[in-house]
Amino acid sequence: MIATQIIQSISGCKKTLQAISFVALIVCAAPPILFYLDRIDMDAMKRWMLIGTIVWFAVTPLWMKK
Amino acid sequence: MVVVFLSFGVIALPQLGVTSLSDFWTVANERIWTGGEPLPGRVKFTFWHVLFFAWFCNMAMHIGMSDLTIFRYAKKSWYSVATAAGMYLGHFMAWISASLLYALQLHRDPTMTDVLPGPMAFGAAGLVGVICVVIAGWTTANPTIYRAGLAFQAIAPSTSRVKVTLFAGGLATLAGMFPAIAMQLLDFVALYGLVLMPMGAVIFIDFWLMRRLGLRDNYAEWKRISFNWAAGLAWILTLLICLGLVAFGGLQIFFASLPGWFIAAALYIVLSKWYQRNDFETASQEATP
Repeated sequence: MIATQIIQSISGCKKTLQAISFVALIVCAAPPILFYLDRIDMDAMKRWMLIGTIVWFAVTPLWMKK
Repeated sequence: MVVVFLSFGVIALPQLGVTSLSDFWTVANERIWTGGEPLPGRVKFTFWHVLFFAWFCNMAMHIGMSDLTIFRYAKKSWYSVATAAGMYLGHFMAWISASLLYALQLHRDPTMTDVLPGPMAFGAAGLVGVICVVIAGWTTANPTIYRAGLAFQAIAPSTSRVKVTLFAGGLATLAGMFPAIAMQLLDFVALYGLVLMPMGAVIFIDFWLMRRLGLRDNYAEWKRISFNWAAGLAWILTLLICLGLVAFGGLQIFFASLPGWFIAAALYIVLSKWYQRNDFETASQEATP
């Protein structure tokens, strides 16, 4: 019940959540390009991509229209 | 998922030796798309195989009209362009990225010729790659299992759709656990696309052309009959012709579907003219505004 209320209140901040999702998408997309440009190593690239993916999947379902 | 598929390609390129645009063509010819002999028992895929298969590997859904099971819920007709996103991103970009991953695997270990999506994706992007492969499989399988559930329910209408869908999913999962079955997917997809393709042609012709040709559309419903022989024969005869061309004409199954669609369409029109010969006059009168 409390969890549902928390999710409902979080879901109310749609624009903020969309912004977080967009940042998460950038965090997924940018590391491979930085790796290609030899700015980061492979481990760092994988780590940042995983963080971006987790945030994307945690946040996006809260605002994406069903 | 799209971002991760694109990333696979971007990650593979520097490891294959592409550090600038000028390197690309040389590396592409020498290390990525080098041609060569196929694995034992496999068909050699040329550019034309890839082109045809990219268009037709989901033929059962798009040309065979299985998509209609999902699009019956669409609120607007233009939602059907969603299939194009799957086609162009899934069949072109993802395939190119997959070929880069495989080239990278061979570059690292030339003896490692197994095609294992999970390990290849993990090697390129770590856990994110594995998540992408799992979700890609899941999202591809979901609508297909749903369709299979509907088909099972059509055979046994009294059964629960949830139960038959779970059964279909369980059966497919079990089959997918055996590499002997899973690794035959390419040929199987070509075959089941071929099996459904004629019915897609029948639906297309029935919806768009029958009235223009002075024939009755939705004939079985209008006539209150349970079997439309024109549709049934168009389906069976097209399959026999296509399979005959594959078995005896030397045509590879990947190339049979394109001519097959036109054969099915022509057969359905000709057979409908014959089948509806007694109703022809009535139908043409009603079609005239």
